[in-house]
Amino acid sequence: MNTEYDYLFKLLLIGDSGVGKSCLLLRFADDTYTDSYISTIGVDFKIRTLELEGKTVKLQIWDTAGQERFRTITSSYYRGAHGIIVVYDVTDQDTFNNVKTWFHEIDRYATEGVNKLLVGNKSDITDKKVVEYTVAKEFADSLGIPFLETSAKNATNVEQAFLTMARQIKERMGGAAENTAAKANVNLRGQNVSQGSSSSCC
Amino acid sequence: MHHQDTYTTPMTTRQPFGLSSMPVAFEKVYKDKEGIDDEFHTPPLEAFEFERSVDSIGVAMGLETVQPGPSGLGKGLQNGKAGASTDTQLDMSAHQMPPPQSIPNDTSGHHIQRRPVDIGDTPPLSRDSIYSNDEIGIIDLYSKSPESGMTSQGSSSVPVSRQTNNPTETTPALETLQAIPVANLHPEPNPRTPDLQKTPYNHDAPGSAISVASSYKESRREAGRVRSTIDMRSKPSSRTNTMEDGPRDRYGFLKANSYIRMNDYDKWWGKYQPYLQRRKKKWVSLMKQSGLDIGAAEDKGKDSNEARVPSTGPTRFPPKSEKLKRYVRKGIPAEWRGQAWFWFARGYEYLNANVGVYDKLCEKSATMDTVDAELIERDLYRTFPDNVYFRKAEGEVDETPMIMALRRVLRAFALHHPKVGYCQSLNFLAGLLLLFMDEERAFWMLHIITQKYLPGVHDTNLEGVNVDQGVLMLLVQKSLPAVWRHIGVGLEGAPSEGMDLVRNLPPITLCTASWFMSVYIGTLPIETTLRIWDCLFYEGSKTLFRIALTLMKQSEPEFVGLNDPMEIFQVVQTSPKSMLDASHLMESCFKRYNDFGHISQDEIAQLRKIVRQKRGNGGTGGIQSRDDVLEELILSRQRPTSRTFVLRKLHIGSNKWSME
Repeated sequence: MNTEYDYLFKLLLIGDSGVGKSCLLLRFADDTYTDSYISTIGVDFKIRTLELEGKTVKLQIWDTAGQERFRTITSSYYRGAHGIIVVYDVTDQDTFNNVKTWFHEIDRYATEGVNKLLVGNKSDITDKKVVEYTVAKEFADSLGIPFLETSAKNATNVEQAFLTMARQIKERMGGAAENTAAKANVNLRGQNVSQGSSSSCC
Repeated sequence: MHHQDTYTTPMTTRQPFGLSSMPVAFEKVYKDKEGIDDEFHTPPLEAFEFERSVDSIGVAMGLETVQPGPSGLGKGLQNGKAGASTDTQLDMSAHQMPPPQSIPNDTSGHHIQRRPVDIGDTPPLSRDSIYSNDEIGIIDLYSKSPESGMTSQGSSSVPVSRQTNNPTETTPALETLQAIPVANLHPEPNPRTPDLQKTPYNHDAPGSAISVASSYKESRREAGRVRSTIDMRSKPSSRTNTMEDGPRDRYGFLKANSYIRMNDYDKWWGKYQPYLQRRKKKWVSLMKQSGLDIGAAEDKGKDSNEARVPSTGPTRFPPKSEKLKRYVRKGIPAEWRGQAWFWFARGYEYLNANVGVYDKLCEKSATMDTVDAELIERDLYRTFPDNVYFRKAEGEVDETPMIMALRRVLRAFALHHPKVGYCQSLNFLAGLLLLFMDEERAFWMLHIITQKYLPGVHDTNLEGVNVDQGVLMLLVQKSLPAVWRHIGVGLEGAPSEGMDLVRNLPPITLCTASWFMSVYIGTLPIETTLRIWDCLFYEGSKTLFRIALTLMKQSEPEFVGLNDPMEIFQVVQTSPKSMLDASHLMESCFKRYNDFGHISQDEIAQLRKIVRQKRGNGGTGGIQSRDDVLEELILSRQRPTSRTFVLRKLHIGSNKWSME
């Protein structure tokens, strides 16, 4: 069961309520979109496997509830994440303003060195856009993290967002032997990573 | 968060709530400690319906003949004379209140406003055809005569019976509309009575209905108008939400989804429906044996020319007994659910002791401009987006009356419970309640659920979630060791050994937390969820734990061969979603041997206490459940001395307050 992938990366989607985290995930994992998505309670997750530079990468993506009070129960999952995607809504200034808070949460709960990505979703709603690309880009640059504007609705940049994340993590983990990487990051990487990695080396 | 300090004490002192002690405790503790209620408990000023007070007083005085207009509260009391007499003592509080000031214009305005939002409690019934109605009304609509399906449903007529005081409008609805409570709001038209569909679509429904700032009264008035919008909205022409259309169940939900195929649904429903019919007959005969009215409206046809609210069925149920418990476990008839839940959860005690409170809260919260209000807005359309009563069709600007009612209930709740405010998942609870009862009752049920059944679970710090999940994990560890081996691990697969599971809850609790928070809405297919709700209100919160264990146990075979905690997680999260066979789940849960029916409320209470202690009283959510302490309280007869209220109750000697 662990031989079907070379890497297992755990990603986390965080951000304010209603910015479209679940829709991004649905687009990425199932390539569908619905206007009518129910609010996420607690966490949900989906899995997608993709090929990256000749390696099979299994992405396990956790989608979290955006409401502040859920942070107390979702923050414990930051620790095991390899990459965290912070999402805001380009049509809602508040959600962008809160991005800082979310990054702060990452600093507080996630493993040091965890990969981060900033995503401005709902880019299809151009007439209501209030968060300028340049502003967000500048902010992301100041933190030294990549930034993308996406639209779960018309699929713009969704694939790229997750691929960017996966590529980054892979780079960080070291393109070297996966099994040593796995060992070195035993807390960071799941059991299956090490198993999967070692089996891929056999 | 800043409310926590303030509310710690009240919450603690509110412990002596209970299924049975609740009214007493409520009267004293709730009122005393939660200042907000004191305020409201004193005579409601303007937001008070005249008829309602007449109802209360009349009924309280034993004037069963007083059958005033279809007021909000009166509905319950009026619905049957038997019902009225039971509620007598409950109305004492109302009785103690000075008579309401009836402001002529306001009052009449209120009626009109209120009607539309009294969505749940009094579906027009046609006797003898409860299930056949269902069959004809909805199942037939879609499954058997699809050509008429969407159209008919779509053009369901305005349930005028509740909307106006005009009896002539009431009558047709009474005769012909369908039985399912959900239909109260927008009763499914009977295809055989197409005349109903001629009810004109009201083009006056203003788009401004969406305006959050609009006053409460206006909002309710508009709800009345917009209400008819749904008819239009539901017509196939305007329902262009492509892939999300399809046959719907009697509650307005899509039958099929990504977890349930249409074929499977039909196959299961083919068996379940006759079962429901059999159960309904049993219920009817049980009610008759108990000398209880099975629903005034069923006896009323065109003759109910006084502006009397038609009933959804019994307003009163027999005292608790083994037999009744069995019946509840086998399912309460869908069209009686609103009444039954309200009855078993002792909703009347809240409703009657707080006349006017909800209206006031609505008015106060109409202009609410808080984070909570914003979060509520975000969730309104993310509650039941596939339900015909909640969703907004493409191109439609008007909100559905359900959405408006949902907003009011959630806002009123947030205002009333600063400690909780708005918590995601409350939208599901309120939404489901609104399908079965009017919004005022839904509000009180939400109050009861969050205070009594799920204490602290929705609080700002969610500590109640952690407590209950800790309890659940202890139960799994104890009762389902094989399952525990799979789920009692961290995400990295680290064994739970040595892990203080109560402090460091296994990751699976992230999944199971939502089971509790949403009371299984979205976890299971809707019919299955409803069966759990039946038991919850009759038996208490232990039901939630029993069901969780049953679900775990049922998922266990799928664990075989899985080592990855994530895959386990996925199974636990996904497999319940296709559990259509509600009866099977309930039977598995309650079967005599090897089941979880032995888990008592006491045990849950103790465990909650232990977990709370072990978690170091983390947060203010660590309050004891009201129903946990109820038995103790009752047995020791240490009822809070609640003035004459208690005495009257005892004097009258109604079974309403007695323990089973």
